[in-house]
Amino acid sequence: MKIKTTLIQGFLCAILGSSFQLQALAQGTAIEQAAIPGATRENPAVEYPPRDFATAEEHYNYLLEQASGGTQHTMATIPVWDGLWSAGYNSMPAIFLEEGSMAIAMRPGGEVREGVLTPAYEEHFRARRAEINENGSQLYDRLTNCEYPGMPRWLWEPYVKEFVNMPDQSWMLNDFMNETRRVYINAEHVNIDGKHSATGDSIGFWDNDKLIVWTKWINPADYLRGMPLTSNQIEIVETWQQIITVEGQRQLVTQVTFYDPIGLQSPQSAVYTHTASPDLEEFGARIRNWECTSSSNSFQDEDGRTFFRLPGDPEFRDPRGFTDFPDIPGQSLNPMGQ
Amino acid sequence: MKKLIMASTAIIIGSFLTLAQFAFGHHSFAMFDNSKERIIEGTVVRWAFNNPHTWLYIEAADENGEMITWGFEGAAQVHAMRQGVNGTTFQPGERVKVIMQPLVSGEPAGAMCFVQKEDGSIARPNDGVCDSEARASVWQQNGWLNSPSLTTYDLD
Repeated sequence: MKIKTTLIQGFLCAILGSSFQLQALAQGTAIEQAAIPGATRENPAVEYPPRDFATAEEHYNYLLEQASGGTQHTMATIPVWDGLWSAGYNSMPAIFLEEGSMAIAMRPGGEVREGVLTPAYEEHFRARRAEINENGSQLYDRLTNCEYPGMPRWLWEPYVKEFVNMPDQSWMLNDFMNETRRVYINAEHVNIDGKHSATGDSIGFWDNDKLIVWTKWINPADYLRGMPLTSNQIEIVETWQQIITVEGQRQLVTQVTFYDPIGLQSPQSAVYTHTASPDLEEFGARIRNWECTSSSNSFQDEDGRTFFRLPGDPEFRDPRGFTDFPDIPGQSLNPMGQ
Repeated sequence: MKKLIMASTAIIIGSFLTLAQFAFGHHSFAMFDNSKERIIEGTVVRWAFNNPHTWLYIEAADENGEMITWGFEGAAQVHAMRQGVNGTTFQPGERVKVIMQPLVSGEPAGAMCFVQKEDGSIARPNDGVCDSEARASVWQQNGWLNSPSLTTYDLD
């Protein structure tokens, strides 16, 4: 297993390394864009907060003050992050595992870092890693039953994303579970719902070409399958910036700091990236509605493992034939003839 | 039971790379027996080009010779598209040979690795359970695609 892990890590580094070489060029916005300070030629480096902050609110307000209240963009000046995007490198697993990387985040290997998580969360994480080491994989993922990835897992899920920036809002759309984040620009947090949600409530401001976001009121979830749980008190500060690699590829680099007073012993930072994916547009790909609840047959069985309902099972859902009204013409999900 | 021979280090490495890239779907993959590959030949009854996973359903004989519906899970749409597969790749009624990793439980389903269509072409709708390009090459080079349906090969 150690050999396999090393191979995976080596080739991931080779692939990802070629994609994340950075240089300072501007594109897609009228504002000059800078290289990420501290970046290596392989991957963007984590940018830690300029000083320690006790809370996300303190961090966000400091950045807002440093930006003199933020840049007031118009539709003519706002950074444009158009097209389809795919998730790329992220450093999050290194927070929780010694030499952690995405190559082992969901697979056996890696030692749990001590003192990062609070005792209850570290105990659960150790049990989760033991399950992976024993079975080769976490036996059940909450997304199996079409649960939303939510934040912070949204930052990585490897499907198709779009980003729409406007002066008063930014929309971050993931095809996975049709999960859209809305960032309210120059606004205050509002919660008339009296509850939390998968993506929480996000506010933000622009600092030239950087979008700074503070998200709170997020459902308890997880960083990723194989990674620790997050608590219902997690708050997240993100800084988004589009950069251009030396190959001329558009990248969105997101510097993230997690503030979770219940799950973490202290705030932790990571960097995530997204890569523009014109290849998907060439294929004719468009974001379609995610059909998990009407087409997925995966579920958690009595032993706590993931399994599928198969044809012949009374609860099997024909993914293209299901209808509640089989006797009425035109009710099939199958107008293409299958 | 025949033993598969890994064709080369490159293929091994390629397999791990593909695993690393794509086996990140919305559920665990622990239910598949990734130590085996099995060929199932049958007739397409449904090609569901769906998220979070594509599924190919075919009518094929089981071990008792009874015709049943088999189901094979593939990649999410975006990953399938990157491997040249879309919603019209398979049509009901066409004959296919599916090379898959079976369920540990033994039920008639598995994780698709690749599919040989009637004209001999290879379609790769697989998720991260295998490196379909490399595995298809191994199967072709060894003539295993002519094996009877239900033949199983060990990967160790």
